[in-house]
Amino acid sequence: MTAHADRRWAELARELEFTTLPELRRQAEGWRTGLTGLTALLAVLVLLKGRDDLTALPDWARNTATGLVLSSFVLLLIGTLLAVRAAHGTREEEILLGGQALRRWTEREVYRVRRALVLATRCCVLGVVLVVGAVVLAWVTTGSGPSHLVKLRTGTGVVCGELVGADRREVTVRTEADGVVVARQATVVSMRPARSCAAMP
Amino acid sequence: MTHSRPHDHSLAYAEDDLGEVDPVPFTQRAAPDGTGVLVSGTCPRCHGRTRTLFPWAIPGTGGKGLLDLVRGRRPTGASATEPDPLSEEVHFCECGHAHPQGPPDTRYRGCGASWRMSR
Repeated sequence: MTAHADRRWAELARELEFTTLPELRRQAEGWRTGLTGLTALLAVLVLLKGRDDLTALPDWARNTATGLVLSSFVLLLIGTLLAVRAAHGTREEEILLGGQALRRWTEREVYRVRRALVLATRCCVLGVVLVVGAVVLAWVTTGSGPSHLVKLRTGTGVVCGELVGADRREVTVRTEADGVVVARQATVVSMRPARSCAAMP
Repeated sequence: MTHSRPHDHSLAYAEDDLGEVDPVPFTQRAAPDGTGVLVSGTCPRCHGRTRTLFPWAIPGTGGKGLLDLVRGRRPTGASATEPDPLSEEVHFCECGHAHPQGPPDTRYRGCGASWRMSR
């Protein structure tokens, strides 16, 4: 360390004595912006809107996708916090402000910022990979659901399934449990559109 | 006591690095208002009475690393122990006299000399 460098560090330390408050305000503004950006991460939770939501997936796929989404959310959260910390610092303890103390503090801070940036990058990349994995899993394991679901009430009971056909004589419904069910028009009490047959007994 | 030489007011300003000097003529104590540590003594170059305040302050936007916080580890260096600016810092003459040929914008009003304490 040359005498000139020592003098510059000492002069910088003396200058910092008068810029503490603006520096703290700048830090607070940075954290405000960063924390506001965190709310964008909530979009991760509503990303899985492919053909249907997670409830339409098989159990193993639903559990896996849920784990992937939650893991990615945590990773993205940590990554964002680390990036904000690297950019704007965090709470700080006072030091005895001299040139050499400031130089040592700066060396430590440079190391911490580098480490935070590396970790933030890894967390964010891994988080995005997990989200993509969850989306792909949802698309691959979600079959195209039946359309035109109806709930058909006849004199003998209720069936729920996809409407295959209807004419003046009979109504045809394809159900998961019983296959194709044909009901004569004379026995039909009512037929209503249904959003899902999952709740059928 | 050996500090009998008078303050040389006619000495021209020069940013001389005097290297390590004898720490005996220097003392450090907490500032009366608690704002820092006051180092005082006699400038080895112009022999004027010099006083420098090292204030407690926040150096900037930094802090402990997250891993350090998790592990409860204190940072290494001066802040891990009681600060000792007398032996750790480079000192500059602040005798308060505007020596001849001194720059008008210097932050240290003195003869321009700097030194460290020998250990």
